[in-house]
Amino acid sequence: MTRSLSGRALRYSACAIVASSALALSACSSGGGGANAGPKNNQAQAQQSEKKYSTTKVGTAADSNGPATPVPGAKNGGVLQTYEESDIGHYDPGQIYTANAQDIVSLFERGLTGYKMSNDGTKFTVVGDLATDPGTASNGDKTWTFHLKSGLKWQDGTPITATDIKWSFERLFDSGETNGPTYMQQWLSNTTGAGFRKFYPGPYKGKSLPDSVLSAPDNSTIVFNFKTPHADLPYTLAMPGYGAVEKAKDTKAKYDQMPVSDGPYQIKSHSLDKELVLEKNPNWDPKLDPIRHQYLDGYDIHYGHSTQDTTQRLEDQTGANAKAVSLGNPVDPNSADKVLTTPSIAKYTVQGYEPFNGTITYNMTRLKDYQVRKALSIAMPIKQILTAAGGASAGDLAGNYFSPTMAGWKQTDPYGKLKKPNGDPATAKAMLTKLHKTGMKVTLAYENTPAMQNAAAAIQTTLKQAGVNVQLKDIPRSTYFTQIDVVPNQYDMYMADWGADWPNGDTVIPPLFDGRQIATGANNTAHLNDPYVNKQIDKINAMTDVNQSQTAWQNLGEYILEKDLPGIPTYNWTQVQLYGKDVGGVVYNNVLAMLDPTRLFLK
Amino acid sequence: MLRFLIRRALGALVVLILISAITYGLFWAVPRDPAMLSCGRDCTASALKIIHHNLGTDEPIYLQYWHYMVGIFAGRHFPVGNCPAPCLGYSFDESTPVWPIITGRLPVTISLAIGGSVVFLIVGVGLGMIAAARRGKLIDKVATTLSMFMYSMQIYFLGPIALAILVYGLHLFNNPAYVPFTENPWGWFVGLLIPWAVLATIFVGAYTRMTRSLLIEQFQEEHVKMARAKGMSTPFVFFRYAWRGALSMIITQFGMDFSSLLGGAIITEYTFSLQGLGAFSVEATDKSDLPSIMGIMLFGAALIVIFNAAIDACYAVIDPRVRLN
Repeated sequence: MTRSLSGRALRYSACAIVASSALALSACSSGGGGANAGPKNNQAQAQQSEKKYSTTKVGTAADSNGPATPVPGAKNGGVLQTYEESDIGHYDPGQIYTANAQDIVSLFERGLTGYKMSNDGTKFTVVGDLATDPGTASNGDKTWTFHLKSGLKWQDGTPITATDIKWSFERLFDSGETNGPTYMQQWLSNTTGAGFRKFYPGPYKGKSLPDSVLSAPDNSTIVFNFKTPHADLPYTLAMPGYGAVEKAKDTKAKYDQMPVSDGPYQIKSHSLDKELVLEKNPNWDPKLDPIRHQYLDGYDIHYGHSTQDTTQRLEDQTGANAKAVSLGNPVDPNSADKVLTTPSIAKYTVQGYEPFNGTITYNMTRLKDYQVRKALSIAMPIKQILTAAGGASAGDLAGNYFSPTMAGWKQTDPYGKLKKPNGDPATAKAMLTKLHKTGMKVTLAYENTPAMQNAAAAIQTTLKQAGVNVQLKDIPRSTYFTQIDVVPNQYDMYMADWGADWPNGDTVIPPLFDGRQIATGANNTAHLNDPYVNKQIDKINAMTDVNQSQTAWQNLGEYILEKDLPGIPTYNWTQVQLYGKDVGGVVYNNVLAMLDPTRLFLK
Repeated sequence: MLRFLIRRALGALVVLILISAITYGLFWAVPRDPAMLSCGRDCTASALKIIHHNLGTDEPIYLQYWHYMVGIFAGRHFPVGNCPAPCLGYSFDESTPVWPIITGRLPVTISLAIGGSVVFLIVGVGLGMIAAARRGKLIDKVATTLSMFMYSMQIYFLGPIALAILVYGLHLFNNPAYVPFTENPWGWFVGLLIPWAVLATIFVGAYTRMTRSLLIEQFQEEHVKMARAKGMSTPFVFFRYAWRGALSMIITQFGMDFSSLLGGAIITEYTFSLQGLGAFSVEATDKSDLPSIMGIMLFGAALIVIFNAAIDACYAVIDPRVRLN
């Protein structure tokens, strides 16, 4: 996900940066409870859902066979009403990046690989979705081969072929495809940034990617050839942004509003910003899909419903509201305490982690002294920051840069923040006194949302006790990124967050901490440029063993936190969601960071 | 009359051109690059450049404005897609022309505006007439107090309370929702009843007080006094002279209120999750989708200018002196 805006309305699926919550991406956290207080009512605590850690691994060909594991008690029939914040805007797989979009399109768009979730939501396995397996690597992970399952069809009954798959990747190079992830384009062209567009202009002018890069030697085989190893390609391809497109039905820009389905449902009608109606795809074969179900006759997805509205509807639990859900809207923060402490409502909640991790990022161009950054970190009141964001329902306190959704995640706390989450201004003041920095002025930039403003006020108050004069810079949400991303800029600290695109550190460490990526508009807003870190990034990227690289990323994250300190972690994002009591199969999906839509049924 | 209408139409056109130029200028004064909305995660300078080219925002501003104005009448073609006339730009966020978004949301807003207007005109003006006719009596005091109370209410306060009581408490209504009138007239009526009532509440107070004071003022006019002195019946004097005198001001106010409502009843739409122009303007502003903001601004401004011109034309019918002026 990518950078998020306040309010959890849009979270991007791989990674983002600054701000707090508005659109979400995906991820995990430090294990419910911890330093932050949980629900006050013990009875409710016993009945409400719990945040669960999840593990992720790459599966086998056997794991990739359909049908999906049945959901206990599932029934067929009915149309589910769902209420969402806003229209996902894009339906073309190549334009899909936000969590909300990833969640909804998973009902009708599939890729070569995907995440198969266990019924309790704790285990994720990367499996072949359209492909027979999660891919076969050769040539030191530079060449990957996938075979399509036999019998796959588009919604119009046309067979899905390797030509379609190749086309799906080629069209991502077109200049009109600007919203989706760019990993594959960069890897195939061996370029960075938007350089891939010069490498290949896309297929619409009749030119194809050379077979030396991407080939479809027969109707069911697709071969990717990279210049460098990409051991976690199965994870990358599981992003809905790499879903398949039927070549013969590719209508370019128009495809973004009416894609062709290869999943269990197809679009019946779409009224922009109002409603998306899905019906069963008669050409979807459950035996060829290890991930999704088709229990419902359809979905009626209503857009334009605020979190307050959906919380009120789902608290009601009567009539039509008992048969409804919101796939993406969390419980309204103002109602979270009531929801979680009222047993009759709390039992219809699910909780989970998102891939986001918040930090107070230091601008190292301005705050050059590590000891100063350390003193600020020790004084930082991360518990008040979490409280301002919504408390226990919004997240768990973080000790490092990784969300618990990351493979190989472990809790660490080099600065003792989990033990003293309110900050230790006395110790910080002593450190600053030694440095002759007492009374120093620092500028803190943040979005002008109520949560951010409250957090900023708490930071200002606590750091004042440490002898730091915090100047608050309240920036309109709409211009926040533009101002923070500028290199150089006039701010010393920013409130920021980031979410991984897939549960491995290579979608966290390089974009945030690679010193060679410092540029206006890029995501290394701390301006960290540590030659050792840069060298390690290259070294880990070259690893061919995913498990080894996962550990290496975690270790490098620890090194950066302990030795460079480009920011102090605040909290790992979590989400609480309500659902109607007559809806079954409700599980929070840590990867999608929303309710899993593919297993729901009406009781 | 024809000259009057032509004069008003030309004036309206000049106002619209001025508004469009100012809005377009302000559009680029905002320190936010709207192209970032379409920029995904790796939003580098080169990526932004491509998006600016796709959306025609890489040209000098005067040229952009010219193309924008031409597009309203002739349509435009962007590298990312066609934008048929009237083209009000291409939404960065929705990846679609702005005009279809506006027209898609207009039925909701029109329904809300018409229904709410009917309620507040009947109740507000009616109460004001009764209060004026019974000035100083108990009913006048009740109507005046009630109007003051309603005038001080806010939709963001009344709306949730109405929902809590009528929908979630007593379960008398389902959640408000827009159903197209052409599909289900009864569903349309029932689905919008609560929003209409809440929207009308704040207007009722204003119209009651305005109507009352205008009528009382008219009662003091010489020609009305003369009519009474000549022995004409009270109802005749009331409607033939006083009411007609007050009507022009009421129509003026109604024209402005109604055209504003057509531009989007922002809080009402947000409170009841109705996807009209008001909700669209909030979303566009929230996301800094400047082409959408620009489109809504122009559309709203055009409505206000057109309605004002129409009202002026009505004056000419109601008050013959307007033609002479």
